[in-house]
Amino acid sequence: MEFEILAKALDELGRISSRIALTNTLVDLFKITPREEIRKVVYLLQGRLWPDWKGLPELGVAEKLLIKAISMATNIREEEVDARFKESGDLGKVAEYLKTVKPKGGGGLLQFIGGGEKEKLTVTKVYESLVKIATAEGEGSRDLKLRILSALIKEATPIEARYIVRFVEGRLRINIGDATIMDALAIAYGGSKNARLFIERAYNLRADLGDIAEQLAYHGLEYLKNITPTFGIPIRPMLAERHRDPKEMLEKVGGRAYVEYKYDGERAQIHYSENEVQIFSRRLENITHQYPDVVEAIRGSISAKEAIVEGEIVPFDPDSGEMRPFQILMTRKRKHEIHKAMKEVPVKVFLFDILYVDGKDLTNEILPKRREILEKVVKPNERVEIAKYIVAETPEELEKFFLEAISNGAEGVMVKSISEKSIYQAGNRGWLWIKYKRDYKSEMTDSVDLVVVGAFYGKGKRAGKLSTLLLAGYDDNEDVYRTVCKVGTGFTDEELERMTAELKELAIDHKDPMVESDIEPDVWVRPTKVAEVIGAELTLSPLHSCARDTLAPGTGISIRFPRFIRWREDKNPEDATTCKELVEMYRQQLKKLEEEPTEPAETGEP
Amino acid sequence: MKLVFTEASLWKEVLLGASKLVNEITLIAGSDGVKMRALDPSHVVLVDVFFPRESLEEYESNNESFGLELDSFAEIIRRARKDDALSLELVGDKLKVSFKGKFLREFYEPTGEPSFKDLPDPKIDLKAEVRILPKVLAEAVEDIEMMSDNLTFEVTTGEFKIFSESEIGSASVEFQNGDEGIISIQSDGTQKGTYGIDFFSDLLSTIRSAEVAILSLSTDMPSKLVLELPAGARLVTFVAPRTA
Repeated sequence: MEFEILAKALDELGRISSRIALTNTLVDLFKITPREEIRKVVYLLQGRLWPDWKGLPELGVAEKLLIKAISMATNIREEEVDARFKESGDLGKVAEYLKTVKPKGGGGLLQFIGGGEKEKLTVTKVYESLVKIATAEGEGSRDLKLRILSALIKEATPIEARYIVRFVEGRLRINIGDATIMDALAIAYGGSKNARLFIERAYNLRADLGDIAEQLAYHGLEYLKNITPTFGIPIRPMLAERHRDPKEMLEKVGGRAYVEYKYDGERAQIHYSENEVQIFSRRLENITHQYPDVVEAIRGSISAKEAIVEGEIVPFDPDSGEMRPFQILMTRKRKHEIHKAMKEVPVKVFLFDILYVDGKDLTNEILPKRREILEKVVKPNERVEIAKYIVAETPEELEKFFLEAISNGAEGVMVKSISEKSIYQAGNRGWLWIKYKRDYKSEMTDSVDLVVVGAFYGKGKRAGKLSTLLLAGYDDNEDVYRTVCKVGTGFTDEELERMTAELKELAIDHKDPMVESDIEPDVWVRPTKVAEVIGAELTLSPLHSCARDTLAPGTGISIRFPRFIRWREDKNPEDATTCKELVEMYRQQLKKLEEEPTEPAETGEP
Repeated sequence: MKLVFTEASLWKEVLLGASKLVNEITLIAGSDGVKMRALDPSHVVLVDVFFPRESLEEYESNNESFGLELDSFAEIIRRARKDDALSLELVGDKLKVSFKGKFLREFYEPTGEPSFKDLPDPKIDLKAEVRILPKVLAEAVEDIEMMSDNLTFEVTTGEFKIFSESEIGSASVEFQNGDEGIISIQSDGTQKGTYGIDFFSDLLSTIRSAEVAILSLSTDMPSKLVLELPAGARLVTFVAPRTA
């Protein structure tokens, strides 16, 4: 198909805004598109060369290079191209204009050679040239990109030049997204808009709209109806609504629900086969290279030939077993230092769903069934666990688990329907899943001094050492110590050695009568040592006894992501921060969290 | 087809320069010698390389013509060492490239359809001609290139000026008949044209290995640069003018 046909359709799509008119324009375009080219047309309409999850390179043409290419193609000085661009803000229009005015000499040498009847650009030719530009690598690739691009603009008619340039710029300026494309495919190939349902389901299970369009064009709607998840092609993730009232949340999901930790990490869809593991992000990018350790851990934990599971990758401290703030996962994004990042930021995967196993599509199974299969297929290990969850029936149970999740470093909880309707709604946001996050947060700006009342033995290289402390605040009303948090971060190796020896001397075989704790440490110690500690924030926690029932019934106060700073040898345990002071700090720093905008369900609609 | 050339390093100089300007080249083994010709994709530069039959030690041809990816061909030719002899032989649809020096090295490069059947020289009436020592021309281009991505040639009777102007600043180099390095300057009136500087600066190394450079132009017409190389070889480029 001539590229000009597509360019003219794009022009029309840029000028209309009525959804019906947009759909009709696309239907007309699809009807004249040969099926060999439908995949490319759909990708180009999406403004991409392939789905992002393929992990293939992007075009990699900076604005400056694009200006140079236009300059070469039209034989007009870069300064002039640039000046026109600054005036109009649309390089596509600039290229189109320069192609229209055809200045003297702009025809290049061909006008002096004669002949030069040009073949018309086809969709395939343009697509393939763009692929060449994207895949040019290494030394000299900039020149190669420039040559191919300028040749393409040279061969293009003015309107074609506008859209080639806009595509390369990444701004087609058309008012359509995936939803409109699916509507138009439904009408053009499925007979009516009713077919959209099946197209959308197929797209949700295989996030490659170009491929779906091609299958539809070649094999028809019936084929699409039977599409199942496939290893290596990501499934568009199911999304959750948000709510803040535990009672209403439970009502919405039918009274009983799974309530599971909403871990603060990176959501990952993990495709496992015996030969290969691939990991896709929530945005369906292939992020396998960022997590070689997850690949290994998954290999050791799944007993199936093929499976697609979903979970959250969370940074954690292997010595203390505590979760760490998710921001540190950023170091994993740097491609070249991945082995360093793996050491510095160990991660753990908490799996919460399974969508496919050994040829069987599980997305239409209800959640309890999926969870049952997940627990059967996954053998937890040091780095792979099933997400922590309970079955809750009352708002109180839900709230208590929520607070526990927060103080353990999670972001909140997910409330998930376990009703007969609880299928996996790929690509959709609905009330089957509800996220419950904090509305308020109390940032910790100052450190506090807490009393050591117990200690835990470490794991891994900290085995045999008392490396995590159970800390308490002082309740000066009742002259007791009430627990606030466990801290296992911030110690040097030397400190650990010394601490273990000292704590063993202070060890007692029972809880000190002055200590109030629901938590049972490996070793109880006499409350004498004071440690200075800081954390990310003060949180409410049902696990700790400091200031229990003061801020909310059944909950005490705790510290999220606590870190040891130093010993306060100068302080007696009675000089430690009191529970009252902690409550005061919590109140002073309490701030409403900004409502985060609900992310779109990835339909690409503007 | 089999061609043997005693001095591979000359091919290296010429092809490395040409490969910066064009992607694909058509090689034609004609009766008078071997010719390589290419038009860059944006149609701004035409490159023509010629090695006469006499410059070759061995020459067997049946008027073959085929296309070569110049980037990868130049990569092979880049492997030429001083004192290597070069042999090009068509074996099936592959071009066998051999270097014979202290020992024998062989490479096979895929060939393709020629990208054009007939690519004639541009039909232009060039009214000015400057014959100049290549080294002097190369230095002048280097003087100019720091200021802009364009250069302008202006020739009047007995005078030749190369200059560039941009927002950064301007630079110019002026020659007169009789100046050292100038062989002759001829012109019918004032002839002036502006060209992309890359098409000249990319060729600097090849220019330096030439014996004579002949630049011809007419106002707002393509320029023609002929580099006379050792052994009767020749590299010609036509560059379309820039406007505005």
